[in-house]
Amino acid sequence: MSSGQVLFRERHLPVEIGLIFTAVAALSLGTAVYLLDRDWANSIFLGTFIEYQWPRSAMFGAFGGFLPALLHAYAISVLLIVVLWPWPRTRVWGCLLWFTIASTLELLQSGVGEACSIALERLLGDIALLGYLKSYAFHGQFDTFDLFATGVGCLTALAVTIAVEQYRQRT
Amino acid sequence: MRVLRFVMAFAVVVAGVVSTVGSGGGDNLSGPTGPVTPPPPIQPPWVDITIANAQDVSATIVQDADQVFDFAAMIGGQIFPSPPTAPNLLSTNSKFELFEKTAATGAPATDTCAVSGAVTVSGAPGNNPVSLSEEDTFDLVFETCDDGDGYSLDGSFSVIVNELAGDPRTDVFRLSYQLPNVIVTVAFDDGTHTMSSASRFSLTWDTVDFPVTVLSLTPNALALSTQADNYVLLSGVHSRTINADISVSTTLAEVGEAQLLSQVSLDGYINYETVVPLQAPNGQAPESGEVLVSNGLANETIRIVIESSTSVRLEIDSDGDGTVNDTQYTTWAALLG
Repeated sequence: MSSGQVLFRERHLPVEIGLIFTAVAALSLGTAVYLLDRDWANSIFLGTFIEYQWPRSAMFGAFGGFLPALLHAYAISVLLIVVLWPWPRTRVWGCLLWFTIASTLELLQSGVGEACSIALERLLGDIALLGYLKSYAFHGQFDTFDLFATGVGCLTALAVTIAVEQYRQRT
Repeated sequence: MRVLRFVMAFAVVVAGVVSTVGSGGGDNLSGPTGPVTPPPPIQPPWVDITIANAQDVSATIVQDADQVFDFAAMIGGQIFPSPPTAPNLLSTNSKFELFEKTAATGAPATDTCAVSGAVTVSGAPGNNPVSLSEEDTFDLVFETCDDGDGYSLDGSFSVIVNELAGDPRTDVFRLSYQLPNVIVTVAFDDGTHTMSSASRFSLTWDTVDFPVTVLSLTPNALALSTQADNYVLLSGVHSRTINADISVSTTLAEVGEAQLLSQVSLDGYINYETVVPLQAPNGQAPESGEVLVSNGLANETIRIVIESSTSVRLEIDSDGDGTVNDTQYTTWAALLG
């Protein structure tokens, strides 16, 4: 009769699935801010449906100002991390990449975007995609709080990923 | 598998960019609550500048600039006494008395306007309005309010105090405030004008050098329309300097730093810049100044040179080669229509 030890491990969902779940939840919450608190006219996507907007609430209060930027940065960073999961170094690079892109997009609303869109228009002609960039650059307004919230979102994504990984390794 | 993951990463980035741009950048500048405002207009194409349409294009620019100041004066005038009265904002203006009532009771305050109609003020001022401070917010609703200024206001807008330096109870102060959620109709005897803003824009009153008062307007997607024309001011700063000295001859109106894109009645966009400030006796045609009108895509330009109160020269470069192809003469009054 042989003897030995059998290690029973509790079954866990993969870490990636849990992170994706948090990203989806963040995106949902950010969307709720737009649907409930924001003026749809300020959104290219929602502006089309402006006649269907119900009276806006103040459900998110002052948080409604920066939550979408923070949650969006968190979600995109997490999704980048998950997609590039086999390469641990990309945890940091994914967050940095999205922070760079998101910051650039925010800067486009500072007046830089107006000049860029006009320059691109001169170069490429009057094409439809540039219309969206122009609308974004001309109608948006640069906001340092959005920039800060984006940074916090990216850092949170990195911190959550590292924390979840370490917790899972311990268990 | 590795390639697939990188493709997915690229897709995530693209989705992130599209959702950022599509959501309008995530600014919450129009405040968390309030009425629904109309969507910003889709960008139409640039207007071609030709010798044939040069006067029409110039006329649109002139009318556009003129409307901005009219509306700035109206919106400001409903809150502040019009120069040359010494500002003394808090003690002499009924709207500020309403602000004070609202702050004291926490409830909306309604008052009748000087001639007819009413205005209701509500909001959440952070402090006693006697000491206005940043982020104090008031909501104003006008019901055909006629203060005897030759027009009546119908609609609503909010006032958010942005900056205050000095004492608004004296002649010397600098007050900047934002107007989000503007939906206002201004009715004159000869017609109505509407004004709406998909985002907020700012007004600044600077009387630090009183009697010189500077009123600056920084539009952000501010739409002005009449039955015939429609203008959208997307960026730039307009400022009007008024010397409230009794002597009319020393009173100047000045337009400067204007770098605007305007949706004009020609169904397109025109870029214009006031390269030399316009100077005019109050309420009269400018006597000097220069405006450069250009097509943002090509280099076609019109240089509107104000030679005198009775002569405006248009230098037209219709092919964008940097040389004037035609020169036309008109008057400010003719351009205003």
